Amino acid sequence: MATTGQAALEEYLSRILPFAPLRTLMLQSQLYQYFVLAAPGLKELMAMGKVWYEAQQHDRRTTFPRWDALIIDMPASGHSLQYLRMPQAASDTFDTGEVRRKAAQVVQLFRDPEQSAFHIVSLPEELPVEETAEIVAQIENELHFPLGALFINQRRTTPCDCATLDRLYPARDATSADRSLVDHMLAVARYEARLTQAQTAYVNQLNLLAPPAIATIALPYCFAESLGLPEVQTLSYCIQSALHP
Amino acid sequence: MTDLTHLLTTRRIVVCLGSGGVGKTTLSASLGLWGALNGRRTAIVTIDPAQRLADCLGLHDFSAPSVTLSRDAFLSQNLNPCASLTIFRVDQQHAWDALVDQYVPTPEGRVRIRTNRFYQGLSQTFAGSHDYIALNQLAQLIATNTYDLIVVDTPPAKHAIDFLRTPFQLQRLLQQPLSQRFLHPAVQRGWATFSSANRLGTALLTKLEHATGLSTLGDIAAFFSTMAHMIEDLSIRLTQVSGILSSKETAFVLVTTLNTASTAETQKISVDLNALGVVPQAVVVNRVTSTRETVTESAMSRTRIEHSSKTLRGARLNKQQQQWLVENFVGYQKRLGAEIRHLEALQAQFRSPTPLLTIPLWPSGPMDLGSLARLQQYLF
Repeated sequence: MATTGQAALEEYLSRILPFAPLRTLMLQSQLYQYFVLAAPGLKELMAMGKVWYEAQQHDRRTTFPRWDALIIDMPASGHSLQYLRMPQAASDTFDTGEVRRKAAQVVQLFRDPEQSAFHIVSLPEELPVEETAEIVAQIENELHFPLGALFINQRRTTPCDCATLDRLYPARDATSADRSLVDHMLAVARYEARLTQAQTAYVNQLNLLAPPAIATIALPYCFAESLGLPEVQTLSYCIQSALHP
Repeated sequence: MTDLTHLLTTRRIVVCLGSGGVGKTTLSASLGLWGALNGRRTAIVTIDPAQRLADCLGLHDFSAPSVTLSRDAFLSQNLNPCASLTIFRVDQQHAWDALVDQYVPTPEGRVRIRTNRFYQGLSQTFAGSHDYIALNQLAQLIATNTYDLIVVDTPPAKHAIDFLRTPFQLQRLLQQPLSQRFLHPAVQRGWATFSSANRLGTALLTKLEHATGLSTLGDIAAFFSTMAHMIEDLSIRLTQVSGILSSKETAFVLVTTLNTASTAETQKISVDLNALGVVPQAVVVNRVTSTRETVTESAMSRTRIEHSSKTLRGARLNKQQQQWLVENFVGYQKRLGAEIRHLEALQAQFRSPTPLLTIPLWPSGPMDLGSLARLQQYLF
């Protein structure tokens, strides 16, 4: 399901205001417009509240939890932190009432290592490594949320390094009609080998950033014009293999 | 004179917009560096709460709200600056405190505001208040007339558009009769103030009281009533910035990469900008695997590629390596084909005179002033 802070707020209002005409009046009111558009943090708080709400849902027939697992795809790291800080901020700001109670419940859910895990997804590049260091520190030391795994995405691997490829140039057949194609193939292979080599230092840094108890899982670079089920299956298989070798 | 040269020499503000991970920060840093190297007193302002910009410029210990790069930092990379380059980051807490100092005349009043829990949340952690304060800082920076060029590095697209809408939201809020009541001191005494206004208001506020807790609403009311002048001035300043951002003083540069998600988001940003009355002046396509010429050359069949790879048989390559050479090249061709289709879609949307510039993917990525300067060969 896709949610936004505004959609989550409207869903919340539909539960506390089940009478549709009154809800419509409220959604159209200036007061509501103020809260949705200008009140800092409300949309982020409601989006996090939606996570808590889904975690509490039970199947009416079986009474089992509605979801076995909830996977939340968060925005980029700087803004993720704003979302993740909001429940605690609301809990600190409001000393009574529903907002404080609900915000405290969200914080409790997020801090419980039996129920929640915060996975970090990074890239083996300069700026993502810096940001990963920042977000790991914030999640551990400021938010006190349990870290899950550190995923190193788009990891390239090549069976030949640059030196091996350089040694191939004299082995080209000078009389071949496809000489330029072979040159191009080697140039592309060398480019890929350079990318792989450049990533290695960052992969090492990311491995050092992860606390000892945290698994680091490298995911391969998958080219696809648009990410589809085959690519998702490939990545899923990699995760399974890393967690259950 | 290339189009970006023209933009950076004639416009006062350049805003870089794009989806997450496309390289906005790197581009902002590179454009700002170009300004300083070409005699424009330049400021780079980051609206993103992450510290990417500082990292990109090698400023790993960047605790001050602003830093001007030293001449030695340029010279160590064989660069000769003709003007200053200053980097600003938004220090949310510091900026809100400065506003309190400016608008609350008595020490007791300042203490009261700073201990107000709504203010503490607003100034420290509430998402969205960052946008207000960032725009206010931009307004102050423009007002100083210290910089010839201000490059603005924005957060990922969705939030960047929110940031641009912020002045309109605050204006809208303050124009509403209901929000005027927030500024009324009587509100601190309770929500009974509203009961005379209308019955619907009372019903809604009863629900709100239940949802939030009365004392917090008192905190909010106390904050708004004490800071009424500040909020009105802030609204005026943000409206002025909004006017500058949509005027000819400002250029918007869209940054994208050639994949389905980024190009779709770029097209959406363009539509959203148009709705705000803004037209992008340039599009920078980052991390392009290669150029059109190499695609044409590499448009070969798999059979031919496999055959060609066998001409390397004399070399000491095992079967896996041989196979990889073929697969890598086939995959590369597919990437190029996809990139070309995305590039053509962008070219169809952003027609001349909007320049569309491409930057190739760098294996190591730009990590210092020297590499940011080298990036400029693709832009200017």
